Amino acid sequence: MKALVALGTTLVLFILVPLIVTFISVNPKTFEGIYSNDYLRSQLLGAIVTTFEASAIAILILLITGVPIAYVLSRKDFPLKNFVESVLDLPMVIPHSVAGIMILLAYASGPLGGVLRQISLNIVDSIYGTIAVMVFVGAPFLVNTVRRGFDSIPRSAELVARSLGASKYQTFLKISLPMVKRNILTGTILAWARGISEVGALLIVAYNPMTLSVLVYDWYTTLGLNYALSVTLIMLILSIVVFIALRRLEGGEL
Amino acid sequence: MIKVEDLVIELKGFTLKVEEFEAKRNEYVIIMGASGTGKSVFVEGIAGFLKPKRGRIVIDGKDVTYLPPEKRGIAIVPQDHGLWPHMSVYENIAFPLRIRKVNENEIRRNVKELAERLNIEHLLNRSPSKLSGGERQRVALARALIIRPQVLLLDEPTSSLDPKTRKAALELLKMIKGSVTVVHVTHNPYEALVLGDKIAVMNRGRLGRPKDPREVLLNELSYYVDEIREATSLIGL
Repeated sequence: MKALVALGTTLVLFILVPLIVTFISVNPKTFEGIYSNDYLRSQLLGAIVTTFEASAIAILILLITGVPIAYVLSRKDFPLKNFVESVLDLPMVIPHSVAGIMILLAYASGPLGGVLRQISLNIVDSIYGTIAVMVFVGAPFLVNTVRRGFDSIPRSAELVARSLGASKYQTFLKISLPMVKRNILTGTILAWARGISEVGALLIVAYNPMTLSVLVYDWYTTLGLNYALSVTLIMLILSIVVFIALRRLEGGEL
Repeated sequence: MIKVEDLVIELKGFTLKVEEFEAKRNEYVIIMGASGTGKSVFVEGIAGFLKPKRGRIVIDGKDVTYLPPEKRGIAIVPQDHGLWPHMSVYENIAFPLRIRKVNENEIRRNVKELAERLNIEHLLNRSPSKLSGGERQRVALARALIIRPQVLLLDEPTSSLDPKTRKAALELLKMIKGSVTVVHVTHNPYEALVLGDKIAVMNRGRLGRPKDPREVLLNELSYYVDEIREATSLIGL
């Protein structure tokens, strides 16, 4: 048992050490430098706004589309079901830069890109591109987590509701959906975390407006480690705060 | 009253056939059979969750064969009771009335009356997760009875209960017997004999006609009696 604890502790420390080192390595003077420089300050504030705006819209889109498909996959058997499941899992295994190229080819060039541009939804270097990337990479996390919730609902819970007078939609909204509330929150946390951490695909599709993750990369390559470190710290704190808030809402323990 | 005629339900590798089945108004009919013989398919079929290949299901003179479950007037109490964990006991029982847009005062009055009758008034504010097996069964029964169903469908309602609670549950079912048409699915011969006005035996996907319990016991359930005799002789009773 001791050996197992030791091995497990090694992994926990492996993750914890960089977290602590990041916090203690930040030089407060860098923050002063950023704050006193109009350009850097607006770049940082813009990245914070873009990150939250894009990730909030992406999560909303994922909830509106992902929860229904999770329910359908859990309840129905249909031709090509395995294919649909694989498609939804695909963003988890595709390299990030490849995902970026795919999104670019599908929604920026070609006939679909033309249609999107005509309705003012140009995804290249716009927040629409950032949202598209976040939806793409977050989808499997939300759909799979919510689906596991639907799978765990006893069939009898829905049968009883139907027999007692609830229609299919009333059963879905009043019985099934509240029963997977925790899964929806967990799926939201995972998809959100995956979305805000994305860099590879964003570098190709929408380098600008920069998200915090892209800004870390940008400042690391142009201004050096100290500046990148200050954005990293902000992102860490924001991520931890949102993570704690959602877990509280979820009613789970940290 | 429920009448089933020439019903055929086909599933992958299984076919249910019911030539004729009837439970008269306020009659208590038992469907008896071993596991895997098709009892649950019958339950889900008449409740409207499985589409029949052919046949007719009539409830109180109305053909409901192709109606959705919510329009049939059948209330199910499943084996695991199917209580909704995100609602309190009160909300569980009130739900079918809320769906019917009954006003809140009337809902409160109906829930209270039924809760008193089933002796669960003290449980109304609790979460289903805090209830014992017997309490859960009473709540599930109250939730089904609140809509005054034309047919009450009980699917192995006591199988998840311990022997002591099961006895109390049988008393409860005796109490409601005669006030509503009941179709009760079980594999327990004691339950069948204690409660049933009639018993229909399910065997390999075929449901026999409901008959007098004594006749069924002598002709179709004799193997149960033999088993019980053998068991009692083994322990010297």
